[in-house]
Amino acid sequence: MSAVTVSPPAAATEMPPNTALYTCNSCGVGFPTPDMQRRHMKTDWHRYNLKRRVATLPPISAEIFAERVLQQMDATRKNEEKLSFVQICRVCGNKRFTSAGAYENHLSSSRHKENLKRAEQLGLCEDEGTGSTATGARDPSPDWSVVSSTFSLGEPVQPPQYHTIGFRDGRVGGGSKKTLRHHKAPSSVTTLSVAGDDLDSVIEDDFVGSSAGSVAPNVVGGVDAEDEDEDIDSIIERKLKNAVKLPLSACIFCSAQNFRGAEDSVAHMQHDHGLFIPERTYLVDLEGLVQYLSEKVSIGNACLYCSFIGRSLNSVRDHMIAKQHCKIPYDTEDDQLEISNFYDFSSSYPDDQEDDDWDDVASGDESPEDDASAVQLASVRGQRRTESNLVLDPTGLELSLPLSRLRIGHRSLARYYRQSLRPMNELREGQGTVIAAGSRQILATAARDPVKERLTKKDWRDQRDKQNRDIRREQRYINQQKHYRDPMLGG
Amino acid sequence: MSLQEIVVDGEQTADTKNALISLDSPISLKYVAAGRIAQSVLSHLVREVTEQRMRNVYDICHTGDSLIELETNKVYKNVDEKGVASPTTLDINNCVRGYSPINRDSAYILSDGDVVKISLGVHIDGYTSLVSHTLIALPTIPRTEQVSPTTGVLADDICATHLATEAVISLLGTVLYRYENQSGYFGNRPVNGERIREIVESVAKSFHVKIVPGSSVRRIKRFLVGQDTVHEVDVKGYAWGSINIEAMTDDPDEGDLKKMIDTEAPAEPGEAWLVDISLCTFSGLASDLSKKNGLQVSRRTLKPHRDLKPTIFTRDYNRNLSMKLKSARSVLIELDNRKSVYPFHLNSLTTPGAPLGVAALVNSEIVAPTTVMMIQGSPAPIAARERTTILLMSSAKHIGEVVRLSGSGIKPSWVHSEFEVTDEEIIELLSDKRAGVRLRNIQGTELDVVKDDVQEMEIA
Repeated sequence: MSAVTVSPPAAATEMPPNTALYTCNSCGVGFPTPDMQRRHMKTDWHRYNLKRRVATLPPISAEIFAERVLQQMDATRKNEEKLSFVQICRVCGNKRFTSAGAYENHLSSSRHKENLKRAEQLGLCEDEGTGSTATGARDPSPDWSVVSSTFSLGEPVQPPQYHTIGFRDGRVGGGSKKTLRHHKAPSSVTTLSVAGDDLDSVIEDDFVGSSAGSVAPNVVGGVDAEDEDEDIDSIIERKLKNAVKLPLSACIFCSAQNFRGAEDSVAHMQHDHGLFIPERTYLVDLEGLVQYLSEKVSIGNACLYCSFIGRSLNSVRDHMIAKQHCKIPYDTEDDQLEISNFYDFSSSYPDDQEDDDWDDVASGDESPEDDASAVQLASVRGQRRTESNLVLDPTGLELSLPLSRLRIGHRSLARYYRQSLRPMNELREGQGTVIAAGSRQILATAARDPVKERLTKKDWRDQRDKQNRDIRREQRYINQQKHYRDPMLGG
Repeated sequence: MSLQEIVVDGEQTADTKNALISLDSPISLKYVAAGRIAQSVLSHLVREVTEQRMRNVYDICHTGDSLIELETNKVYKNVDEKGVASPTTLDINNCVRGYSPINRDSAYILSDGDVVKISLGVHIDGYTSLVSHTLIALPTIPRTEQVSPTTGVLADDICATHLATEAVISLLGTVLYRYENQSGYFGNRPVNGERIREIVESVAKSFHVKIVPGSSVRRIKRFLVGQDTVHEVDVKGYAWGSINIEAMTDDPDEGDLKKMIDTEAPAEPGEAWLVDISLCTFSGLASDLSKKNGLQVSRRTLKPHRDLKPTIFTRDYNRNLSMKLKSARSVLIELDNRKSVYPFHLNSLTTPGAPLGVAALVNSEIVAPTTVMMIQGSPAPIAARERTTILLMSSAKHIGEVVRLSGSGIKPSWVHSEFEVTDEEIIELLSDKRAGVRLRNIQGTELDVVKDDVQEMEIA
């Protein structure tokens, strides 16, 4: 990356070119000292003229060059606004849009929708910013300000990770009166110092100051600390932009659509995905609940049951179906509060006198805290009723209803309730008698015949004795062979 | 149920539950009720056969079972377990056990001259009355008409069976008669299994007939009447082998059954006994009967019927397996919940697919089949069977009496045998005096009009 330094105007500028000993042929200027000439050779103005000469164009003077630089800076500033809308639609082959209007037009075009659909089917939209990417539009760094610079002559800069648009560094040459100095910064960051009087103020305010402040950490430090806020903001913005609006007549969990209404779609979700809507009797705003849930999934890309946040609607749908998370959490108080806006538990309140004070507390303003208290209240009342009508097991894990034989067990014991054990059948009188009279077990032991047993034992003893005798005999004769025989050789 | 303890010779009887004191005791009443139903149904079926109203065996068996169910439902409403203790079977000629057809079309049609053995059983709360009767399927003709009785080997067989049964009943009754002096002695010998064997074999020998395996004279208890699946420990009496194919042996001294039955223990008052004697004709030499085990029908000639599949089964409560087949499981549930411990007929199951389920249960030996058994030989032997249940009713006040629950009072077929009993002891037992035994016969009732009286028949 090159550094452009606009040095203070030298005396050479006042000298007539003819009298100069040291001249520059491409720019048509002369210098009194070789040092000044050497410095001139390094300026952007000179380089610009060199390129013009190659293109067989007449050289331009320093004033015209400075004017052009200023013009360019104006144009760049104007471009900043435009560039804040720079968008790339990845779905449509990384198409780039520099204006908001064009981008809007593109989003509503049928070609884009078609591409989007196809991409969804193929599961291609895994990256954040499914359809398009909003790049750091609000970043006022000079990297962006020189994007479209026609003076892009230096080496490219590694773009920040989340900026998908490449940019080129700009180079600004000084005017004819000024000496432009150009040097390389050690951190390979473009720094611009204007040596001129007029330029100085302009450039430093608008250009250098900001570049020194923001570009350096941007590039060197990466996107760590500063970008996080920006990241969340951009994610939200992006999500909002990319959100697929799910109508009430669409299923939240799959691509089924065109149900007759929220009721139908809920029925579908109940039947096909096992969605259970808790406390259905007290639910007053089904549509609101469904809309809330579908927004949570389609816009937030968040799983209903756990804290999973998908990259896209498809990914979160896949997650919910695969993990069987097609359900509304209702276990904790927070879960209940989350959807309490759609419920009205007032009909469950008993009209007892003792509950009046509770009602007073509950009937306050319409704030969310109030809903919280309502839910709490409901649970408190439930416990009271438990005490009066239901019988709780001493272990605290089983409720039994007084009039029926139904029992409600705790979830933690589900594995035991699921067991279908063989019922213990009580023996009838006849069966008991017959089994008791059954003599087969007794016969099995009673069938012992002492004589036979004695004979068998004698057999065993004889066999053992014979074996021992054989062994003894063998040992006695083991040393009675005449000649040594190698056991390895056999024989 | 209040039970009085019975003290016999200073000893308590082991099983007071089966002890019978008087006809007023609840146990006796249940026995009598069961006996009356059995007697009624039996006489009804006998009439159906002899009057030739029914010829199809299926009809007769089905009628018998239905009548038993119907009649038992009328009595002892608070008793859960009651009904058929032995499905009605009609064993014809050389068939000895277990023929109760499953449907009407393939059933046997009775023809004139067939020897029919009607067997059935009723129980109320486990108090059981089993009965069998042999008759010749001939139209009853008044004796005034000069028609000759049936004679020959068949007559010998029927006579021998009848006399052996009566003799054994009288023998058992002597236990009561001699009660005051020495319990269970007749002719200075204890009345036990061996004595019973001697008497039956003596009768069989004198009438030149053989004893069919499965015949037994044994003490019965509540729910325990010698089902195939129940292997009791202390059984008094005597059994001539087993008719089970698995347990059958030619040598009566061998086998599990022999070990289980205590042939030495004397019969005692207050017990219920089952007399089940089945004899079959024998066309060989008389000397063959004198050989060892010659009196018993050989296992080789006793075969299950080739085509007839068993229709009567008994649940074995000592085996419990979980069945794979659904119908087997449901049959098992029905058996355990609705049936008692007695044999049941396949048609009595209400479970759909019951035959399949029962077949699976038979394979896993949870249910034991009652095979249709035939005696083979040439000329084909013909078996007769008499079975009756008696109570040795002791009494604290006076001499006890034998209550014959069933099988009495039905007119036997008119037969005439040229043989006669030679043993004096047996002659005394069979005489009109019955060796001084008081016998009370439970009479059946006309099934349409149920009368509630016990006809007392005392032979002085």
